[in-house]
Amino acid sequence: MEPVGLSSASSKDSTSLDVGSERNRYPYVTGTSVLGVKYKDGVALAADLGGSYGSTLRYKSVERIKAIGKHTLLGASGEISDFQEILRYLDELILYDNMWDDGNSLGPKEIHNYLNRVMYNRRNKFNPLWNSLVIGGVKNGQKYLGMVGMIGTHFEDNHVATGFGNHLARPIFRDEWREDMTFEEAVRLLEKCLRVLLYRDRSAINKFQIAKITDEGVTISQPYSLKTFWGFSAFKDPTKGAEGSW
Amino acid sequence: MSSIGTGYDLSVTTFSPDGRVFQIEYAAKAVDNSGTVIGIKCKDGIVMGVEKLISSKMMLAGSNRRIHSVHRHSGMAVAGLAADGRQIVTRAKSEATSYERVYGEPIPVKELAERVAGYVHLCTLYWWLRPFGCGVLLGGYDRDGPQLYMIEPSGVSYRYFGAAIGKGRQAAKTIYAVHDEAKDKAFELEMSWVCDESNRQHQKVPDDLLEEAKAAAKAALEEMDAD
Repeated sequence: MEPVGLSSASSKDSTSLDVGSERNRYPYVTGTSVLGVKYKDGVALAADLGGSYGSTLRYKSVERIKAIGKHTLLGASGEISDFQEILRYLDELILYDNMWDDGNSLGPKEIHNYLNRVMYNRRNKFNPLWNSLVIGGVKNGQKYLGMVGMIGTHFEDNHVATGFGNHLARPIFRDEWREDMTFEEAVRLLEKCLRVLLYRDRSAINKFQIAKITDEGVTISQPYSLKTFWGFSAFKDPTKGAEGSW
Repeated sequence: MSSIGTGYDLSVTTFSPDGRVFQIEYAAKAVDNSGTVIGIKCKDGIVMGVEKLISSKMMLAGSNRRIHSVHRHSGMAVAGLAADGRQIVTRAKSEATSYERVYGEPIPVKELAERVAGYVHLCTLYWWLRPFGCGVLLGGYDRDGPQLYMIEPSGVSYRYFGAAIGKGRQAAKTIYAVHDEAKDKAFELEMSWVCDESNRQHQKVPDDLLEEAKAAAKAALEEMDAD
């Protein structure tokens, strides 16, 4: 094979210095918070169905929680296209797992670990998948709930939240979460946090899904809305205390 | 052995004067001497069964799988050299996932059969490769319905309603009937299906159904013998 030409800089070589190979600098279509809690029989995740394009609430039917295999739920906030790519990787992973047909299957711990490897390796190449992922699941009676961030940070906890949920929902979780909640109590807790996020997070929309996973399997609810109340007297005349020019 | 190649059978890249490639025919012999594999296409699915001859009592039941899922909707049953079979299955899996990655839908069974046949044929074209010593039954269910293909060591692939390869292919009525009690005593029956009932997924036939089928087959055999 003779060398072709003088230039040795190949555009495919991502280790060469001047190549601006695909670097994910900013996300474009993003999803907002995902919440997750463990409860008595399993794990529950909640998220809204919004995909924002900057400050525009552009897509209103984006399902951000998906079932992975038999034992796991994956919820994602951040860049939606990266989430879809992650789902593709996981689809292949689960397919190969199923084809072994050996009575064993990948559980939430394995999925969490796999996603952690993927996210961390992408971060090290300065080309992250711009997501915060919530992984919840039950396998052989063992409940599992964890998170992986876009820089590869990962941890496990009894309740997790991404994005704004970290600031608005987790304090509520810390106060009110209990190990032996029933599913209805867990839903009430999640709805309470979702309502707060709906009021305070501008990228949240009033259309949610709650997903639950137990040893029996996965159920993802149909989208529904929460009742909200905006009739506070302070909202009625917002400039009452301070007349402004507008 | 029926015909002797006498000099024209040393390489897969040599034709004999009467236009045969002996190496490929010898490869087919490897398939003919293995345990029987049967596939049947029904109007709502495919069933495949393998007579796994047990070479040693120490072998764990359920090990040495001869039927492999190639994708969600299709599977392969292998006859002949098991190691060669594994290679073909791996290739088929990789073709199936690569098709789905590109086209977004599960690979049509016809397409998969063509790709696998092409791969098997490839190994009959070069002197530094030997032909695969195994025949494969590929059963799958796509939007054109259930389909059954057989791929031979020569790289030929045809579509069948019912197909059998291996020792008992001539007498393939039921696997118990083709099993030669004298020469090969112990065997394990492995069966898989892909049909409407299995949600168009390729999987092992459920144990209780398998036992029912075995019992029914034995009963039918006794009836046959009784005549």
